Amino acid sequence: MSGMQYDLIVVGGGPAGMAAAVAAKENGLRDVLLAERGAALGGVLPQCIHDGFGLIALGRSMTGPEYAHHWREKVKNAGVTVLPETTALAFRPQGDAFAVNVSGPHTGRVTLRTKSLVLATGCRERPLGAMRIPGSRPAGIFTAGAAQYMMNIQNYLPGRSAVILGFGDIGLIMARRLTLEGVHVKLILGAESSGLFRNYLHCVRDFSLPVAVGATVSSVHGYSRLKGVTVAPVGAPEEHTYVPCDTLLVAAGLIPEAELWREGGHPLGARGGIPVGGAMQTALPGVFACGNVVQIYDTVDEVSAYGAQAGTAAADWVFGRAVTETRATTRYGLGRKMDEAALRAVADGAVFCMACPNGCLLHPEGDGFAGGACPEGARYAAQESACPRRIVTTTVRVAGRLLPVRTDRPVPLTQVQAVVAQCRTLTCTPPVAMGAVIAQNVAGSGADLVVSAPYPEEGV
Amino acid sequence: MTDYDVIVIGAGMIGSFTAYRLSRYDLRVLVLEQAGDLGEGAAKANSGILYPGFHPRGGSLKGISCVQGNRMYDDICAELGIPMRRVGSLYVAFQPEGEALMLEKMEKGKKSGVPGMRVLSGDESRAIEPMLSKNVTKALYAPTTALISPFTLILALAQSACHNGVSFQFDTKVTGLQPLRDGALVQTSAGELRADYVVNAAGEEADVLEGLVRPQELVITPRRGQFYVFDKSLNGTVKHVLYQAQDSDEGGTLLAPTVEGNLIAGPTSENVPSYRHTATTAAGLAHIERVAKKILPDLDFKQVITNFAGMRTNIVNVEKGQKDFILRESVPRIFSALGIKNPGMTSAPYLSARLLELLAARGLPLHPKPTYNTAPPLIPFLQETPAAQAALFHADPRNAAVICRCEGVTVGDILRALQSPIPPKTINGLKKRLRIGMGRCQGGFCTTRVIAVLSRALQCRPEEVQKSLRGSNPVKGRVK
Repeated sequence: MSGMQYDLIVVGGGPAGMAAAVAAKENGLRDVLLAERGAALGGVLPQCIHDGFGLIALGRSMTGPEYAHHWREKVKNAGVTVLPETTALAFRPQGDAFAVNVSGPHTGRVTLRTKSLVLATGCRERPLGAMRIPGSRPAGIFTAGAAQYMMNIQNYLPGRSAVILGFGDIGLIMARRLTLEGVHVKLILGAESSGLFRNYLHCVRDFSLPVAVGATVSSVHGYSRLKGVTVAPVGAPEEHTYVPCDTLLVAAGLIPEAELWREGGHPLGARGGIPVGGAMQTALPGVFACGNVVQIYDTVDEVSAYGAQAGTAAADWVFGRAVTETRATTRYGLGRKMDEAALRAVADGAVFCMACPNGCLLHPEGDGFAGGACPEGARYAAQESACPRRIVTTTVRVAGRLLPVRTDRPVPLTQVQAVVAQCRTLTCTPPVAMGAVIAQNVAGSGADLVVSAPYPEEGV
Repeated sequence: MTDYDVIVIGAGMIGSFTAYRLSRYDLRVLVLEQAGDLGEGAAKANSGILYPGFHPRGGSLKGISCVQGNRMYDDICAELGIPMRRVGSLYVAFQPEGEALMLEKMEKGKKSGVPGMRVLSGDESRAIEPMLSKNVTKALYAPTTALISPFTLILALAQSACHNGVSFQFDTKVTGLQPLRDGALVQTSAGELRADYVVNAAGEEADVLEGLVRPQELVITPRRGQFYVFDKSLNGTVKHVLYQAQDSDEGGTLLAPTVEGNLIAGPTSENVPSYRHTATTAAGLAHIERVAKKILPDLDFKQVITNFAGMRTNIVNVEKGQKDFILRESVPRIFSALGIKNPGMTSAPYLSARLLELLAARGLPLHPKPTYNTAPPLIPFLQETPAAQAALFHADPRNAAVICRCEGVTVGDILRALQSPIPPKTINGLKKRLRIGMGRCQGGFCTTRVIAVLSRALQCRPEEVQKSLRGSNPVKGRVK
């Protein structure tokens, strides 16, 4: 492995890296290596058991594990060499190629050579410490993503009553996840609302969870375990209140994990990530970057698209072809943030249509709704106001580990909790095929329960 | 027949240094510690600076031990194989009053024998410390100021002592102390022990312990110090330890690189009701920011990764100008180290050597052990030589499996730490030994994975893995 020279090494096997590797193969590169630090490809996707992935790019809503599986199959079929559990530590130009230093249990610490390089190392979560909030440092403080990994992969319960700081999307998603698994979400707060509107609607509003926009945690309390937090409006610390809780989730932003680039002595861009041109090329010819290491994207669909662009450009570069520049991104209404106007509109009875990427906001008019770009909107809004329905995603315990599941169709919102409750008692014997129905008409909802990831999934 | 020749109470900086020094001799030595690990008291939140010694009163034990101790570190670090960097410090002044204070300190330093001090102009200071405020008019440069990792030091001292036959007993609280005719009876939460000699290095409880054997005349109370820690991306931007000759409420707050490449700013100094008051405060953090920006106006506070607070033991019933470290024979054969706060780590080599002299003067026989040798510290896989990496990978592939990218720690490093003579028992114990979770993501990625590794290695349920103290388990149960 260390003797040969690759055409391309992709660092990071999340959605950006997988798309880059596949596109590079499709564009004629022969030896493509995809190095991923996790045990399986997918990056953060396996722990994102909720749905909503692929809506824009593939036109259907998949769960994170399903979306990861979709791309894993493409990676396998494309003939990409995958090196799991491998961490890239550094890279440097070496002659007309690059030397990439990696470490992992399959190779030891070795230096690999490649003609081109795609950096797709994703991002990390901003920790509480970076927010400069005073107080103690007890157990029970987690980033939202860490709590998600605990609950959805490791079967670890982070606590019994939680406050969520920040309106980041993972925090919103976790508000629902905690609620459905019986953890009391006492407050979601943050200086400004930053999450996707659709996540707010389906994760917070559906469950009437308390929200405080324009407030923050002003102190953390507890000696060994978190006992509570003081919260106050931003700029008015004297108006503080105390919220007892044993868990604090921090969803206060994502930071590009651009250390490989920065530690190589290269400057970061204005958005904190690796600066790239229209073909995802960096300032270093032969090195490309894509995904959240470039900038934080709202949807995985965009990440996959830019990943493919980077892989294509890497192939063009290796073959000495002119690189193809990316077309400008289309902004979709579905990618709308939970801005003040949107929050006000739904409070006044408006409905945000999620039937297609357009994401129209429909207002009540007469007996129905108006304002949609297509007839589907009015139908969606009527259904939503009469009896909202949701796909339910949760986990089932199988042979000591968790297997993600989903309903095969939306169920009435009023029955979501009953479905999840039944999943807590359900189990089945492995092997279980992905897509297999493990319970019919679950909790009398009319929907079947479908396995949404291959078994076994990534280990803990 | 007694159980031990010497019982050392407290596995902090002074206790560990004393154990390390005693381990050279043919003695039965036990170190008792009420916490579950080494260095859980004042040492836990130490700034990691070896001071040159111009702050304490000239000729005081504090002054002498600081200057002498600083000098002793070259040999100690070489013997233990741990890193120490003599970066030097700039004690900066902003106006005439500060300059006068600076010269006063220089005189104190001369009296205590601080080597190499010289006064620099503002421009000369900025030439060697480019980010320094343009308002700095003069600075006292001291070349012997050095950086060291406090926990790496304590661990190396204790492991070396352990390697040479000293026993360590954790989670054991001393509840009683009685002088005997030829020694002392030490009552603990785990039973009674007899020793010929006792060293009371109990830090925050040293005064209380001494009070068990003689009238307690000193009042020692906790004083809190808060700090900010900055990301390693600022590594190299600040080259020296920077503090200011200024009003007393600002004077103690400094900026310093750390031996690992972070930057710290702090401490504050405030009295608190108990040693458990380790929470930081809005006022404290604001103070640090104000002072830090006065010295380094362009310091990027967006690079802060965490804040913390630690405790020092402060003698309150002695006048400020008369305060000193106290090292004494409390009653025959029982020795106490009292009020050892800043610059206690710098002074510790000297203070521990002095303790041995006191013990010897009272009759403790110091026969060098022919088998004495130091134990090499655990070197994380990624910092090893290529040959050692190949051997470690061959022995166990998990040695190459990176679990903490920020600080470069592998699964094998954790497993090796768990096999070490004084193994970690908690997540923080691992953090102190390997720096796992101390980086820019503050354990966001690795902590839950570390819990899984610890739970497997310690053969306990994930719910039983503690962050630090009892009841600090991050996992509250199972989802299903």
